[in-house]
Amino acid sequence: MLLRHFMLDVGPQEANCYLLADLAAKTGILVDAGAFEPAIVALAAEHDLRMAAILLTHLHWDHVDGLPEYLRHWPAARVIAPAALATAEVERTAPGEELEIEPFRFRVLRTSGHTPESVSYYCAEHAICFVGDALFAGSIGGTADEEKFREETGCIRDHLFTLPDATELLPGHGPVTTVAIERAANPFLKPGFGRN
Amino acid sequence: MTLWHDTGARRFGSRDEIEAAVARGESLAGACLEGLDLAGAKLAGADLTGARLSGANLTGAVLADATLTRARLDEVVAPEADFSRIHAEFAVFGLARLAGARFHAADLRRSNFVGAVAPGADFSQADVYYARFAGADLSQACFTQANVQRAVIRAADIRHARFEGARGKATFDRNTQ
Repeated sequence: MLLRHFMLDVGPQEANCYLLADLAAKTGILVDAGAFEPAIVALAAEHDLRMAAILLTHLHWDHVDGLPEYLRHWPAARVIAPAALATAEVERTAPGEELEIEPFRFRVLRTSGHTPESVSYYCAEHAICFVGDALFAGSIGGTADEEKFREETGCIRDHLFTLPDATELLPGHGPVTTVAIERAANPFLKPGFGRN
Repeated sequence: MTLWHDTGARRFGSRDEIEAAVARGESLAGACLEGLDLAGAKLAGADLTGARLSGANLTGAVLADATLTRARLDEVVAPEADFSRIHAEFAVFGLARLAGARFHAADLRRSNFVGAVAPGADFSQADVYYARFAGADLSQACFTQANVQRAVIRAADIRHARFEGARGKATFDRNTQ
């Protein structure tokens, strides 16, 4: 398995995207697509990867705006997203689904709150979970109100903090983290910390 | 920017083996050193890009000038370790035990120190741009002349920490003090 992290130039937010590949099967998957980065296409070509899918965690511009350009390079790639998108035809997925993109398997987890459609993609075999903007190292995604805050923190507790401790959480912004780190120290998940 | 994260990595069984590889100038990029006892190891200048050292014992180890970009050092036990001048952008030090560790002039941009226990650690002149220190124990830590722009020091213990001459605007809301 090859996993590369790219920090995209989308302004101060510095959005992440990830290239996941099985080099033996020569199959690649891109997770989020906030801006077009030629190095990603070059890396896929270098390893002769068939880019099978682009997974979107949610539909904010800094996670999807590069999509049309990637699809120009990889027209056969499936676009899998939790909601419809104006700029591309998508296969809708939903929490609870098991995605098979051979040789990878993902469980789709509900991590809404930052946006209504936000999901995470958990790959048990490699102990990685792409969490989009649901959770960051020591923080969580912004929410519009207290109700959404409770929804988001509830999803994190129910669906991310129940994953094995060593699971790497790969967020949409900032550094990688783990379930163990966030469960122990993320202040937003502590009783009484609150939204602001 | 591309950052490594490969699995199927080279594994090492002993501190001697690792020190010998470093002395020969071999790259340990992507190596798996998880849980090893590397107390006092001499790893200065090592290339540990993307290496996995989670849970390793680095007590008193010397990693000065090493490259640890995108490395995993979560839950390492590294009191008094020397990380001076390391290059460690996006490195993960979450829940690490770093009392008295030295990060003088280190490049720690966008690194993860969430929940780290680092009382008395020395971050003087370090670049901690956009680094995450939420929930960390930074009591008596020294950030003198560090670049703390966009660093997130939320809900951390910063009692008696020093920030003289630090540059930039960090987030400090609801710290212990």
